[in-house]
Amino acid sequence: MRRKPNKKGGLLALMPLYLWTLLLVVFPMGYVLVMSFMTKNDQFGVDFILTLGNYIRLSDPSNMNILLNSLKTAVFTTLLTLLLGYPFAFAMSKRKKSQRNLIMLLVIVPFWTSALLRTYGWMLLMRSNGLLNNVLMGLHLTEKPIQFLYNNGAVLFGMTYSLLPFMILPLYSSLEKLDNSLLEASRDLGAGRLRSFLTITLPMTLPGVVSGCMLVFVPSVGLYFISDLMGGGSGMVLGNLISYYLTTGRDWPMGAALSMVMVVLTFLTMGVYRRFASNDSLGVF
Amino acid sequence: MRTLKRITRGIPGLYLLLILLLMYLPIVVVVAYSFNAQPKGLMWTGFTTEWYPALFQNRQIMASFKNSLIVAGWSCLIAGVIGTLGAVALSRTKIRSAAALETVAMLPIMTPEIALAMAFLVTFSLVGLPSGMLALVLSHATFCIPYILIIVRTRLTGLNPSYEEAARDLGAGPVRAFITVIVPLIAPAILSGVLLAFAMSMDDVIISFFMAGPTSTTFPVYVFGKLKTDVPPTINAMCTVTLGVTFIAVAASQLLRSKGSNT
Amino acid sequence: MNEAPLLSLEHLTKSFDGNEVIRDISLDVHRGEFITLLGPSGCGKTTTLRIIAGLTAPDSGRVLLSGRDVTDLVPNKRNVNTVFQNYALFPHMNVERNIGYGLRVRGENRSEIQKKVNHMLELVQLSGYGQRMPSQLSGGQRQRVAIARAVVVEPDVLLLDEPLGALDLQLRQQMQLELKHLQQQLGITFIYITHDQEEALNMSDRIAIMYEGQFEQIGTPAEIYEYPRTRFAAQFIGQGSLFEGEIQSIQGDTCQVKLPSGTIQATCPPMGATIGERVAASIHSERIRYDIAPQQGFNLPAKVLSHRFSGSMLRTELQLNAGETITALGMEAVSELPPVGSDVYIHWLPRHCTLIKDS
Repeated sequence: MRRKPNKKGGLLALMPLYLWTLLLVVFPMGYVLVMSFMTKNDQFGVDFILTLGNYIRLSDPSNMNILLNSLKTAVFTTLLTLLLGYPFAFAMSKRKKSQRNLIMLLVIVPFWTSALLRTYGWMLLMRSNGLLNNVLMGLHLTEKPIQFLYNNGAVLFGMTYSLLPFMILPLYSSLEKLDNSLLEASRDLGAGRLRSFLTITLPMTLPGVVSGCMLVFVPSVGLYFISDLMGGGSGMVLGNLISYYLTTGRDWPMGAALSMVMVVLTFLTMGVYRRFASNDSLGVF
Repeated sequence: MRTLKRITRGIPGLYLLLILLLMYLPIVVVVAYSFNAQPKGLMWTGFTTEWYPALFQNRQIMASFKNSLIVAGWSCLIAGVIGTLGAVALSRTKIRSAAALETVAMLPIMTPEIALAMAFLVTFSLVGLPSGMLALVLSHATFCIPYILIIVRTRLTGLNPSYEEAARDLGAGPVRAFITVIVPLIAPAILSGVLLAFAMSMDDVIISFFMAGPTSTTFPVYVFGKLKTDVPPTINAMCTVTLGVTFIAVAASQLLRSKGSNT
Repeated sequence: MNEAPLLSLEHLTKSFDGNEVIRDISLDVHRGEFITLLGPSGCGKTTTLRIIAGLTAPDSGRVLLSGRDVTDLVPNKRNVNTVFQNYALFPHMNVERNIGYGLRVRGENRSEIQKKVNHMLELVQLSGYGQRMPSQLSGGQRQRVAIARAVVVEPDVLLLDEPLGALDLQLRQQMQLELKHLQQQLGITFIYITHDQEEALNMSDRIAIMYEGQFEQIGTPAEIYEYPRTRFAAQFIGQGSLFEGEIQSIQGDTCQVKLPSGTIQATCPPMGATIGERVAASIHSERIRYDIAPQQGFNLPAKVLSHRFSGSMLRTELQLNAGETITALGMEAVSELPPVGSDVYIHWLPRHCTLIKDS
C-alpha cells in the first residue's frame, strides 16, 4: 500500500481554526478598520462615506486629554508594577524550590480571577465608610474619613494591583533562568553585592523586564472598568472613551478610530516584545 | 552586627509575605463581608450566613449566573475542540502560512478587550445578529480559543515524538496511534486549557457588557451594573461564590499543567 | 546462506537540509542473523534504521522485505519492529498494556494476549512486573519491556537502536549476553546499532562498519578484526597502528613494504599487489613484538620510550627511526622487558599485518 502524504489530514484539522479565525477575528477587526473611516449618521448607524474626520477629531482637546491621561496612567502603572514587582520576583527566586512553586500558585490564581471582583474588594476597603477609614478613625489617627477613592491615585492603585502579576511572572521567569554561577564568579572576582546585581543580574533579566512592561502597558489603557469603579469620573482612560462612543456618545466610527489607535499600540508593543523576548519568557504559560 | 544581618536577611521574605497579603486582601474582605450581618456599613455587626440563601432566592442573580454558566460551558467546549484540533494541526503542519495563522488566532488575547468588544459589536450588527446568548457564546469562544491553543501547543512540543513512532512501529495506523497514545498524553493539557477558558469566560466583563441582551445578562455584567448604582446586601455573597468557582477552576488548571508536563 | 536474503537494501540515499546523510548503501540481511551497523555518531546508522522501519523515506533506492518492495510502505504495515533508544514506553500504560499494544492493534483476543504477554514477561525475566508503570522501573527493566513489546508481535526483523547506551558498564555487559541469548532462542533477525566496537564484536554474526553515510566493510567480527579493508575500518576496530609505505617486493603471499623508518612484512592484499604500489599496513597493538636481538624475518629498529601497566595489559611506547611512536600491548611482567631507553627490534608475523590499498 502506498504511503499517503499526510498533508491532507493536516489541512483538514486546521480548517476549523482557520475558518473561525477568519470569520470571527480577521473580518471583525478589518471591519473596524474600515469603519474608522466612515461617518456616523443620525440614527445610531453609519454612512458609507469615507473620511479621515474621525482621526482628525482625535486631536480635539477633550479626546487628547483622555489620550494623554491614558498614556500617563499606563506609564505610571508600568513603573509602579516594575518597582514593586522586581523585588518580589527577586525575593521569590531566592526561595527553596517547594516554596517557589507554592508562591507561584498563589500569584497565578488571583491573576486569572476576576479583576472586577478584586477591585470591588478594594472599594469596600477604601470607601468613605470603608474598613480602612473605620480602622483609622477607631485608632484616632484621623478625624474625618479620608477620600481614598475617586481620584487619579485610586485608579493608579487599582491598575497597579490588578496588573502586578503580569509583571511578576515574566520577571520571575527571567530571574529563575539566571545562572547562579555567574553571580558567584562576579563575587569571586571582587564585586560587591550591589555591583554584581547592577552589572550582571539586571542586564541579564532585561528581557523579563521588557516582557513585563509590555504586558502591563497595553492592558492599562484598556481596563477601563477599574478607572470607572476606583476613579468615579476622574482618571478616564482610552477604554472609557471608546465605551462612551459606543454607548451614550453614539458615534461608532469615532469609537472605531480610537479602537484602531489601541490596536496599533498593541501591535507596536507586540513588535517590541518579539524583538526583545524569546518565545517563552512570558512565564505566563 | 549579627542581629542586624539576621534582620536584613528576613526582609525579602517579609516583603513577599506583605505583597501576597495585599494581593489577597480584597478577596478576603469580600468573603468576610459576605458573612457580615450589616454588609453595607463597615461595622462588623455579627456573623450570619443569611445572605447565601437570599442569594439563591434572588431571581435576577440566579438567572444571570445561569447565563454565565451556559455561555462559559458552550464557549470552552467549542474552544476546546477547535483549539485542540488547531494545536495538533499547527504542530505538525509544513505549510508555511501556518505561523501567520497562529499569530492571528492569538490576537483576541493580545488586543485590549474593548477593541475586541467593538469589533464584535459592529460585525454582529452588520450581519443582523442580535445581542444575546448566541453573540455571547461566539465572542467568548473566540477569546477562549487562544488559551487552549497555547497550552496544548506547548504540551505537544514537549511531547517526545518517539511515542507516536513506537505506536506506528507496532502496527497502529495514524488515527489509532493518535487516539491511543497522543490524546491520553495531552488530555491533562486540554482539560487545563478548558478550565482556564471557563474561568476567563465566567469573569469577562467588557465583552459581555456589549454582547449581552436584555434577557441574557451575565453575572459579571450584572455585578458591574449594580456596583455603580445600588448595592444589594447579597452582593458580597454573590462575589464570594463567583470567586470560589473560578478559583477552583484556575487552581485545578494549574495543577493539571504541572502534573502532566514531564514526558 | 543459500536462500534469498530476508531484507535487502538497494542503493539507498538520503539527504537532510542539503547534507548527504546516506550515500548509496546496499546490504543483504539473512534470516536469523544478528547483524550490527557499527560506526561513530553522525555516520548515518540511525537514519538507515529508520528507513528500514518506515519512519523515514529514502531519497532513492529500495528496501525489500522477503522479496517485496516495501520502500513506500507505512511503518505499521511492515513486519519490522523497533526498540527505540529511549525505549519510548507509553507512560500512561502499565507494563502489561505496553507489551500488549501491538497485539491489541492486531485484534487478538484478550486471553491470547494475556498468555503471550505473560510468556514475554517470563522471557525477559520480569514476571510479576506487569502492573507497574514505566516510571516505576529502572533503566534496565524499561529496556527489557521495550524489547518484549517489540518481540511479542513476532516481527520478521527486529531493529535495535543503541539499546544499551543508557546503562552502566556492568549492566550493559550482562544485557549483551541476554540479548544474544534471546535472539538465538527466538530466531528473529536482529539489526543492531551501536558505536561501541566491543559490543559489536561480542554479539554479532556480521558487522557493517559505517562511516559518513557509506559502508566501509561488511564481514564477520573475525574478518573485520583481522582483515580490515579500509583505513577507517583499521583505525576504528581494536587498537593498532597504521603505517604508510610502498610495496618493495613480493614473495608468494608475503609482501615486503618499505616505510620511512624501515622495512616490514605483511600479507599481500587479496586482490593482488604490484611493486611500487602505495599501501597502508595495519597491525593490532597486541601483535607487535620487540626484542633486543634481531630476529628472523624483518626487523624494524626502535627505542623503548615507556612502559605503562594498566591492570591486565602492559603498554609499551616505542619510537621509530623517523620519529613516529607506536604502542605495543603485552602481558609479560615489566621485569622481563627491555628497560626504557634500550634499542630494540620490532617484528611480527606477516599474517598479522594487513595491507590496505588506496582506492
